[in-house]
Amino acid sequence: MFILDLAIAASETARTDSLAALLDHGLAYFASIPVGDSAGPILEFERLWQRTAIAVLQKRLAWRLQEEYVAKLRKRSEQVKAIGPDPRFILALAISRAQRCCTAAALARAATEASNAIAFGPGVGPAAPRLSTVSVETVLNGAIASFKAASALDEIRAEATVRGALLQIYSGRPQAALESLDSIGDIRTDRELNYWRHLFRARALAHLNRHADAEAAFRAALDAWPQAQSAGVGLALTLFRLSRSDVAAAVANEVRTWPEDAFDPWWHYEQGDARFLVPWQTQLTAWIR
Amino acid sequence: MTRPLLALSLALLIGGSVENGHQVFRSRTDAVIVPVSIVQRGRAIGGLTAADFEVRDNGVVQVIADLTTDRLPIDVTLVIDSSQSVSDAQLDDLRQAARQVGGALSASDRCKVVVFGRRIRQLPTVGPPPCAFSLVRTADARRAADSAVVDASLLTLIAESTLDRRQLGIVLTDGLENASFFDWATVLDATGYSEVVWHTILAPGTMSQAPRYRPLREAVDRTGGEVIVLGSNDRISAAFLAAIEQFRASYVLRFAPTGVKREGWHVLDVKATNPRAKGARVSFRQRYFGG
Repeated sequence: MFILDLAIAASETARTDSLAALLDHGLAYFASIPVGDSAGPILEFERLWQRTAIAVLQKRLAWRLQEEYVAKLRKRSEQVKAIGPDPRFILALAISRAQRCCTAAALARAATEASNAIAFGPGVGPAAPRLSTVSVETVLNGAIASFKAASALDEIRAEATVRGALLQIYSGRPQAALESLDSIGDIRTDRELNYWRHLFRARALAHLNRHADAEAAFRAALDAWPQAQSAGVGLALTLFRLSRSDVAAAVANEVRTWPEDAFDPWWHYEQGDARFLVPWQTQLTAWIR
Repeated sequence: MTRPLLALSLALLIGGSVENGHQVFRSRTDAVIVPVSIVQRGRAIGGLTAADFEVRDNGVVQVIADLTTDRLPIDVTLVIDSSQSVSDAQLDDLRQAARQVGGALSASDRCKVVVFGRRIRQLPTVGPPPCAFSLVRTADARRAADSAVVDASLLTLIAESTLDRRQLGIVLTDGLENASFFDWATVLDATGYSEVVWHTILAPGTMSQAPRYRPLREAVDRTGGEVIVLGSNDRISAAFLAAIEQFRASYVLRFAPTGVKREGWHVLDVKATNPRAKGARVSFRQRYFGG
């Protein structure tokens, strides 16, 4: 537990390869414990520990290290059958693929570079792009397929569907995204996931020029998570597009005066399971005691 | 038809009237507002009249019903990127800039200051109106590194459409984006609905090198604004004041579209036909959405 506590404490600032090396020590420790017939609680502890370890790497968007770590876990679960495959690790792989290509910042960078390449020709724009438009599309489609596969598993169906839907929007398929999002049931027990679902629905609807429906979806997102900035900006923008500039300006002003500590779950959306770090760490600590 | 008679006809058509030789629009419905600035060798060209301009809407020449310059009060929104990429010296310069901006505004003008990292916040004014404020860097290193320049720009574009005031947004940023929900394509789209003239001042840094910020430049251009790239020795305060001065010296053209379908997107083109404006750079709102 000490290793994990250390990794979580250092997760903001440490080098990602140092974090991965630290977590490898934890993996080696679990491998050194003999697994007998009465090992159930230990395996349960290990499973949550490993989920938390991956969440630390997701927090830093260290997609390559995540994939390496999940591969090691797969090997371990093959050696120790009692551990079995964890659906969250399958989701983790899909998230790492999304982090690889399709964070908002990465897409903005790729779009800018592609735009520059077209506008200014080779050699005039910035240095060689990290991802060409073609490779972004390929990786994006791969990530969408990974989320689709993950959505076949009950435990992670809703989250895989919501995450896959955003990538569908990024790839220019808002109608498919909308249908995916409308296919999942009640997820109000997971407040952040519920907020994301409404937020992405609203964006898909806006892409489809269904601005009145988008307004309702942004309002639903704000009901799910009051004072969330992304939903507030989206609502103001939608009202503006509906030619209600007076109301739109009032909403924009309201968004800018929300409390400084008002949190928007969008801000850690791309960090995967990092949103569970605190509750998982708390549970692990409680088990030890 | 003589020009005054035509102006009167248009005024009746769209519910306005003519006062002191100017058409006064009572409602913004059907009135298209086009901010235009004309700059030659860094100086704004003033003193032009409606007869010195040609406006086309989707390629069709329009009759300019009204032209105003500095008689309308202005609303200025200063939007400041407070992420780590703004240095301490620049923060000091910013505080000075805000004081100077306040001094450059008149009693009927209004000013607000917005700062953003990932959170976009309007600062409460702490001194005499219209523009005093207190700017401090957030102590949270992680949050300070995040920058939602796209979402902050979107909110800057969203302003109430009004005929009796002009809107200017000035965004200071290094262009780094990593926290917004929306993207530059959304900003480009939003410019078509907005009457705000949006200037962006790019602080010295990695993103200040043209042409990296082309989507940002394209969006700014569409509003009739300008991207100003600061050199390492340039003062932010000077750039703010230059943007306000240029805005004050700019023109507002209004017309009621004729010969074009109202619905959908409209592409605008404005030319200054006066020989004094030969070779000058003409910046104007480039498109609008007609519903």
